Amino acid sequence: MTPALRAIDVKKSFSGIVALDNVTIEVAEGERVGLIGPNGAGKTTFFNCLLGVLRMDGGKVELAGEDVSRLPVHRRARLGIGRTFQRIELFPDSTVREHLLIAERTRRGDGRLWKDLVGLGRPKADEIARCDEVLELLGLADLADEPIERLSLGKGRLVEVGRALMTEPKVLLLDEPSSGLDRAETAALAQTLGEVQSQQGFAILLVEHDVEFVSTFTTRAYVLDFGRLIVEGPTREVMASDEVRTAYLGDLEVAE
Amino acid sequence: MLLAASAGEDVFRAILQGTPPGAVFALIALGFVLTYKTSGVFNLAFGAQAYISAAMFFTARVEWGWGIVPSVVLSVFLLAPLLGLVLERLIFRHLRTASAVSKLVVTIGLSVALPNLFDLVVGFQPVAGRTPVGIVADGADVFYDPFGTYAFSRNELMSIGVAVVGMALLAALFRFSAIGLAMRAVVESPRMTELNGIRADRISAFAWALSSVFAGLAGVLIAPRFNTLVAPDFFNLVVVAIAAAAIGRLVSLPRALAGGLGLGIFIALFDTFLPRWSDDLTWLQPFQDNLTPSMPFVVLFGVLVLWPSIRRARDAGDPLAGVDPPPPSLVAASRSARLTLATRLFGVAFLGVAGFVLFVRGDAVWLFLVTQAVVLATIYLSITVLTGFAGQISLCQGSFAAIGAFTVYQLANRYDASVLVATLAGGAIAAGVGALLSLPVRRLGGIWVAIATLAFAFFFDAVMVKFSWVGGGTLFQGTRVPRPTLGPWDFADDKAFLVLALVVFVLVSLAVIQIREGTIGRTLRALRGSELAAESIGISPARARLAAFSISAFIAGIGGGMLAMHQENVNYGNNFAPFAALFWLVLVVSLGARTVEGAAQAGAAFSLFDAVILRGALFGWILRSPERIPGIFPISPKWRFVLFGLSCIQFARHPEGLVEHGKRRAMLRAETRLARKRPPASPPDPVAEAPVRTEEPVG
Amino acid sequence: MFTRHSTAVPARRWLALLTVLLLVAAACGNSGDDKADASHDTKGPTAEATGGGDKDKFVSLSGVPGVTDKEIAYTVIGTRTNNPLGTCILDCYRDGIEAYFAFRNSEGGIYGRKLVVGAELDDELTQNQVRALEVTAGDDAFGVFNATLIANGWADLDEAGIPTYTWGIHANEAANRQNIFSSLAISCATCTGRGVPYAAKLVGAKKVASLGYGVSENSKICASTVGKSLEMYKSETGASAAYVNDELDYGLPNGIGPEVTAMKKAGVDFISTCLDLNGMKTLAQELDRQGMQDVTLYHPNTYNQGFVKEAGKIFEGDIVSVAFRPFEADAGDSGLADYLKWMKETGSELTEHAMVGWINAELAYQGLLAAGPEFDREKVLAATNAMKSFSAGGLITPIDWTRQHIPPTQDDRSNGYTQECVVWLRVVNGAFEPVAPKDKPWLCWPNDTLDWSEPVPTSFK
Repeated sequence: MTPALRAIDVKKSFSGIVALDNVTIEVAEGERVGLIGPNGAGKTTFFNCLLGVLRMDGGKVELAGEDVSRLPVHRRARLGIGRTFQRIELFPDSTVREHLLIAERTRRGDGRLWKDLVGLGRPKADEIARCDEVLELLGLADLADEPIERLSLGKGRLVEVGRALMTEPKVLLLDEPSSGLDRAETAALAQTLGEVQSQQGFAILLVEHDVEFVSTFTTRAYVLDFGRLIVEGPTREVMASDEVRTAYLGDLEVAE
Repeated sequence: MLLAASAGEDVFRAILQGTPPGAVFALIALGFVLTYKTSGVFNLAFGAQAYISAAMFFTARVEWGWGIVPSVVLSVFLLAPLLGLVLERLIFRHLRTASAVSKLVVTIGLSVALPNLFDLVVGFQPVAGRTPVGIVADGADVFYDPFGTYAFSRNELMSIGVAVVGMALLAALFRFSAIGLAMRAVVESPRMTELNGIRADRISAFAWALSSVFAGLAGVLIAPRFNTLVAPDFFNLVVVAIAAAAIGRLVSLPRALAGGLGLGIFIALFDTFLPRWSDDLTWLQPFQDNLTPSMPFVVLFGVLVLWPSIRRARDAGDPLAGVDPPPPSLVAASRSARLTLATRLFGVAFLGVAGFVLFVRGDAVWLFLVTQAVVLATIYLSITVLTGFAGQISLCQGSFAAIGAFTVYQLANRYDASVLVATLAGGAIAAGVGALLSLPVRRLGGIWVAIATLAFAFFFDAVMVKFSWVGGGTLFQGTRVPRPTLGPWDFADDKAFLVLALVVFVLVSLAVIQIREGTIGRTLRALRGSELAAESIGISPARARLAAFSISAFIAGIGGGMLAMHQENVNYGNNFAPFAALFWLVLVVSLGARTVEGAAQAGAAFSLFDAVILRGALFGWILRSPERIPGIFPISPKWRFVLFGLSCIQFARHPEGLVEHGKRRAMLRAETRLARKRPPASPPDPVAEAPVRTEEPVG
Repeated sequence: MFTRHSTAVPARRWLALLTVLLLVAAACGNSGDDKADASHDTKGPTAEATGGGDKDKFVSLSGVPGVTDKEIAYTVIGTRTNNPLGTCILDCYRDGIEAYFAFRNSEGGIYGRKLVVGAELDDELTQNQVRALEVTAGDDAFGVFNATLIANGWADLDEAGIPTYTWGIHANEAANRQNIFSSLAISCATCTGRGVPYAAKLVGAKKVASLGYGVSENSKICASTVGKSLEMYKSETGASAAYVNDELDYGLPNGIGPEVTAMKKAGVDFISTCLDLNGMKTLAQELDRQGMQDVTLYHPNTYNQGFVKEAGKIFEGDIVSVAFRPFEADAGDSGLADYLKWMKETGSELTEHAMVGWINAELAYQGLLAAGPEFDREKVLAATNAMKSFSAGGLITPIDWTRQHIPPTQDDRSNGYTQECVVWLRVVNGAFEPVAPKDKPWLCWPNDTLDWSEPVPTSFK
């Protein structure tokens, strides 16, 4: 079976300094995979290479078997890579539902100037219904008409998830979703995410700092350090490995 | 062999020739990069600062008869740093976290306001025959020829000398003084210094004062090259400096310096050789004829769209910026239905009465002014789409409008086409040009789009307009445009034409509102809110911007055609020159770039402010007699530029514009009053534990 | 998994759109299409002047705009604010008009009324059309004096039938308009002339350059027409066009170094220009730098005594062209004596623009005089348009207003001046000296032929 997402030998360096050294990962359909590593390990860089924000120096990214290495961000998004952001990226001046509506409209790709001009560009009933379905799923139904500025960070992250879901992703890339959230919020988020994922069946690649989150949420994990994959395997085994301990302890010393 | 030797000599001469202006360009570029890096302000008002010092020096030296030294001290070492400090303290210090684009808009406002304010305060005006003088005696008349190929004037040697000394001092400052070291740290890594607790305020203030001195020096040094001191020349100068600074991606001081010098020399080389080549290669002729004067703009445009580092420098946009303060949603969307109805009724009633009075009692002047206001409001809707919806600052809306106007003229003149059809064609051609223009700039960040469009506006002005198939009028006719007829209606009558203009305005307004609520509007809003997030759901920024640019250019083209019909002439220089169009943006942005109302009010402000306020008509009405208008009227029309230029400053805080801001405050007051009469509705559920902060990602 | 709808818009829709457009096109036309310029040809130049000896006869008039029992009021429109050239336009122009009015009023005015400037309007560079409409909308001005850098309001004044007296720099806006009277008749910018070739011959030049700004059609055409003229007469004058550049950047912000170098290479010894006086200074300084001090310059716009004096030696020996009998010529029995006297009387400075104002005011007065005591705008216009030789009392080359509203062409000079005339001054020790004899300051060629001849010194009355 073709994996939902596969990256092969991804290379990237910044002015001579190697940030990613032949990183290869694979996320199967419907699988939850974790990507961990200390600060500066190259997680964000790798993430950006997968998304197309950064151009790789070498290697290949495949989405459901299709080579997307040369496609820009928005084309990859349309082919099925959804994402959330570490620092939340919402559209000011819009309500929660509007976030989902624009994603839905973009997915359908049937916006036309003449339609706008004759008033056909306004949200349609079936679009709204579909958005409300997803909002319901995420427990955001009550907040559908709230302006985004009045939401808590945790809810904001859920809106990001909902927005990404509207694109019907094959794989959802979550960039440090727990950052800025407290323990309870993180747990709630993990729970909702888990439910939705098992219902809809997309794959998840979780980049995360919070070791606990990764251990409970994912089944398989990769560990990145200094731009190289050092361990991969079932999450429980990976967490227990010596390499992870060293890498994280070293990191902890620096960070704390 | 002889030919080669002489060509070599020509190159050498061109290099010498280009060095003095190059040195001044370098000075400006340095100062420009300095403020940019220390306060994140892409300072388009830099030319205005240079102008003020140059005009002050001229006034002191020539009008007041001061000596050279006190004049220089006053204009460059007192006034210039003072101006820099005032700008920093009163304006830019409070805008630290504003977005790069809103800071840019503020500086555009300043570049309109400052020179006029100076002229008004000092009473300065250019006088023919009194050409600007340099800072050495007989600067233009005594020559030194060290190499036997090119004689430097004293002024030129002075420019080179001052530039060298200035740069040496700057280098020494950076190397040896504490504040210099701190400043260098800021220049190199603004965020790090913030974290390290270096007093950013002090550094920023110092940098503003210092860069302002550089602007002043450059202004005083370059002035003798101009025949008269007028602000637009200095504005062009800053465009040149941006080109120089852009070569160093705006971050490197040494490269800015090299860029300035290089640009001066490049222009001289170009001027020397292109005419010669075009003698042999006739196909070069039209380019030579038209390109030479606009070299700086061509270079800038080329650097922007071709220089790889800029194209990749999207994130290097603004070192200190946060993001746009989230623009609050439109008032109409959130206020109660009763209040909406009441205000709409009032608005309709007011316009109805005003319209009736105009139609029955209005004379030719008021009819003309109101029609002009309506037509301009139509053009301003193009800014509503591009700036209000898409968040892009375009400084070439005048060129788009001019394309519409010229199309109408050319089609009517050459093919005797109906001007109404020609107006649609003009809109279409403008849309095409807008689409083309959006291609190279689609990958550039906010400020770069502004600069690229500015370069295009100047390029259009200097090159395109000169082509006979664009702006070439017929002899003894100029660019006359007839009024249209439509079936039984003849719009030669001014009242009929006003009706036509209103119909066009209403149609375009409806279209703009539909677009705002439709797919395109919502896509643009998403893109403006967060480009990263928009891309992540499959929105193509390039396509969305292409749409925004073409729609905006189409509207501007239609409006331009209408303007030409109204005035029965294109009147390019009067209506569409780059500097005039800059003022359009200032007006629309300061009154409200996001609503049709804002555009309408900007149109009214452009057309009627002068007649109603400055020339005292309003006072005349209030006092019921034109004879009793107080003696202070008419107030100088320059105040218009000062007022609207300065009101642009609030864009950074209220990006929705004055109109929307005022409406919101009025609404809040009205709602509280209404609420007092009724039992208070239950307050909204406190969903927010902690408000969401939208921030740009790091790295 | 997801669907993308077809992007093709059905062709039928485009066809429908096209059809609509064609229908609209059929319904649309341009105003005036079928009127075919009728508006301008109705007033023939046949109306005879009825005036004459009854200059002081008072007839009470009503319904004539700007005319009361005491006064005939005119509005002056000029550029003051935002004038990028920094020239004194509105104020100097008004000086000349008021000096002329003072002169006539001292003789008791006309038809028992005084001539006055009622309103003064500053067009702020860009508001000419609005100011013109202010005049057409009001009824407090009999006529308009207009000296503005942009003249987009002249059409409105003309169409409103208001006698409009203007300076002579806007050929496009004045051409074919029967109610616009410029201080110079409309010249044909593409018509060759004998002036510059003769100037070159006069100083013994062999290789001539011609320079103009690319910014305005007028100055562009000016430079290339001079080039054509030189080539046309080179066998007679021995001077040929060696360098033509009609694309200089306005204001010369990039200097003029490379151009001067090119001229030096071409061996240029005489430069004809279509530049403003500040541009001339830049040019002269650059010539100085490149060791070409001895080259003679031909100036069209430098008749400014103070400027030339201050510029020192850089203009020495140059030729400056003027459009009227210069202050340095003998007044003789011309209007120059009155001008000098009344400018002094009113305490005004002698300037080029004041002279234009004076000449305009003289035509306004002569028009009134010819229209008779029961005058109105139409009568004054008709009477003025019947004047066959208006020289403002010997101040300008005579204009035939019966035909000179229509521009001449290269091949058909029948609407042009009867003679091609120039007035030249040379800069000697920082002051102007007429080239022609002081009592005959014009040099004229017959205009019925384009053949070369030596000019004849002439004076007009």
